[in-house]
Amino acid sequence: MKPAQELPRLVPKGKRLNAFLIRLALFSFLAGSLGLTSWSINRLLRLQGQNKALNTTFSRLSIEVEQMQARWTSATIEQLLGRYSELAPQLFAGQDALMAWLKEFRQQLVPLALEANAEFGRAAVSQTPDMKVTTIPATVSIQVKPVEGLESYSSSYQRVLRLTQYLGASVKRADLVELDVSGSSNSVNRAVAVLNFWAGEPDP
Amino acid sequence: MNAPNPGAVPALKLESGGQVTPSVAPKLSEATTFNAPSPGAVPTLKLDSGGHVPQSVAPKVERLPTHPTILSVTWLNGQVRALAVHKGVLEASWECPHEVDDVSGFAAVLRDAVAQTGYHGSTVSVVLAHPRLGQQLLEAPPTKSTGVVRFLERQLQMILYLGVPPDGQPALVRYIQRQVQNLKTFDGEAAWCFEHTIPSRGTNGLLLHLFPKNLLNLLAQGCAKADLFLAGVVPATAVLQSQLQHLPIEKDDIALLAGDTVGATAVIVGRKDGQILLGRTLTGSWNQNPSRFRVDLQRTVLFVNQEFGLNVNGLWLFGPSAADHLAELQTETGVPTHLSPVEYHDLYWARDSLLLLPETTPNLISRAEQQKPHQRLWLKVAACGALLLVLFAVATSLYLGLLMRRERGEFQRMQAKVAELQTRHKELQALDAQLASKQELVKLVSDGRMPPVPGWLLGYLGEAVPPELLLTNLHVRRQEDLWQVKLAGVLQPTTNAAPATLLSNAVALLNQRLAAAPFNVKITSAADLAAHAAGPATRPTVTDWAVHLGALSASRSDPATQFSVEGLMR
Repeated sequence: MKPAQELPRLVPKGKRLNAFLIRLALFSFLAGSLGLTSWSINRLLRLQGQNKALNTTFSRLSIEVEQMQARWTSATIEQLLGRYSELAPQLFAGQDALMAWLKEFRQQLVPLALEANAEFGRAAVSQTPDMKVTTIPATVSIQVKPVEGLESYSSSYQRVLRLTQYLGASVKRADLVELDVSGSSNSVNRAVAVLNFWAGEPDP
Repeated sequence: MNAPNPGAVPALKLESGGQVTPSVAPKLSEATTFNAPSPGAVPTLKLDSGGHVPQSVAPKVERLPTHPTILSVTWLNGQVRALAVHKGVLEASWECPHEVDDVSGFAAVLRDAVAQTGYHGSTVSVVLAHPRLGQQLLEAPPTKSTGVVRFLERQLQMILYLGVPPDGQPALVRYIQRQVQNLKTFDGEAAWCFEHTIPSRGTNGLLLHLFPKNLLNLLAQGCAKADLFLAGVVPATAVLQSQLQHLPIEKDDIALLAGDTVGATAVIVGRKDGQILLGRTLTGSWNQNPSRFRVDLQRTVLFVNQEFGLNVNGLWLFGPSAADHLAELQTETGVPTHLSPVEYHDLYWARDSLLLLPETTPNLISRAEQQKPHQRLWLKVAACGALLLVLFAVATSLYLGLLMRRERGEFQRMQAKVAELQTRHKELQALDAQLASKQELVKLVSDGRMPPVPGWLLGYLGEAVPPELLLTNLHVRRQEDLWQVKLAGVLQPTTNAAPATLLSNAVALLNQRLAAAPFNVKITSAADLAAHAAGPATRPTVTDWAVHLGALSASRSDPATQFSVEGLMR
């Protein structure tokens, strides 16, 4: 016996439309549910990501703040400000101060029977947020004059030595960066000293 | 009931579990069972009610659908019988005490059947022998379309039918639908099903079963009113057809099998392999209106001979009292007449219809209709699934929304903290920059102040230079982070006989003092030129001393008495 073939009948349009609508509705529910879930999860993940980034920022800022606070304790600040306030006397406030120093320097030469000639070089400027610091190099040539009647200890060497001690003891910053002393059997004849004068005015 | 062996066919058990009518009850009372046969054997229906129902040769049990729960109803020209089957077990039967001729009364009959049999399933199938159910032979059209076209047609059909299994040939369906309009003998739309017949004279044939669609709808509605689903309406000829394989005939013999369907006769002409030439319903039977039945039977035999060119080799009768009419019918028809080896009993049609394979059985209920309960179930499951999914999605979204609210609160709190911290950070940064600038300035001006090392060295040389040496030149210069020191001089005028040695010793002493604290000068170059000019040391003579004394003044410019020292210090 051959198998009887049961064939599908034509399905009315209305039923087809119903079936299509049902499937469409099911698919819509499925897609909507998945979409809703996906959207909710994504939203939460995005917010969690933002929270994480914010936490990272908070941690970084906290560490930096702690580091800065640890670096600048009140004692450190006080000490720094104290040292900063001592800068002004060490620097030449301007040309007048430099001239006054030179004048005093020349006065020091008289009792030592020395002659000096200063020659200033080109100034170098160091810019800091608080102050413009200028370094002025000066070459001071010293001639030792023979002096009659001075005590034995006042040899030309000793006089030059005193002068260098004077230069080193200055309150104002005048760095003795080079010294060239020439002499003979009769002791020192001449000396050349290179000084760096530091000028500037710190902010109050 | 014997439990089925693994791999064996399930057993049918017919028990007197439900209420049965008096006509059936004696036959099914007590242990009425279908014993599970060994594979290949024919199961027997054993009734121990005195042998009133004889053993019958039934179709092989392995054809029984797996554990069906169904109410199998036979409606044979007004006579209604019902057999309730629960998970393959024949539980109870019932016969309607009156004839049912009108379809409209079918719902009430079904309710009675359900009540009497205690059936608690939802599916019903009907074996139908009805005056309006007819059969027509039809030549199948030659297949013109190719396999590809058929495949495309099936795909198109699948798309258009939105998932209805594309198990048919659309062109054949359209052909049959057109033919049905011409062949039907009643008004209105026709319900139909068909089966293939044995090809004859080079053409394929179809046997169409036609039934008024409105009656079928009424039948389905009646079932629905009884809260039952009509899963199948099978012509009685289809049940009878299953007997062909049990007839003791040769392979190519043509048998005419006639089954009594209460006032009418279902006739099948076919071969032992189950294929048929035709099927038809004759008015009358050997019990009722036998003369007309005999005439119709003769005509059928002649029709087979004329239409197919084949002779009917045997006439087989199936039904009550058939044995009494064998000789008579053989004489009338001239065809050897036998009794069907399949024993008849009242529940034959109802029971054996369940053993038919649904895939090979003509059924007036279309497959789409049969699948409706499954589709409804699927729809419910899908709807429930979708609803659950939506609920799950909504619940998840609500829960996530709650989490988001918490996260957002945390985010806002953290934002405030970060803003506060940023303000503090900026303040500290400004302070840090300010203080760092001041610190840099302090470091530059105050810490960078250089000590007057040249002056100190000049003073130190007054003690460090040995008296034998005369220092003529001192040069101290700041070179990056180091002080560069250069000393030059001559040996003092001396009467020493070995001035070179004296000079060397004195320079060595000077170097030693310079290298020691406090200046710790690292001597990079020290040269007493006398060491290069002098030869091997010899004892000075008086003449040499005089010469040296005379040359004292000149020795100042003598390279042999000059020295120089170079070094670095911090």
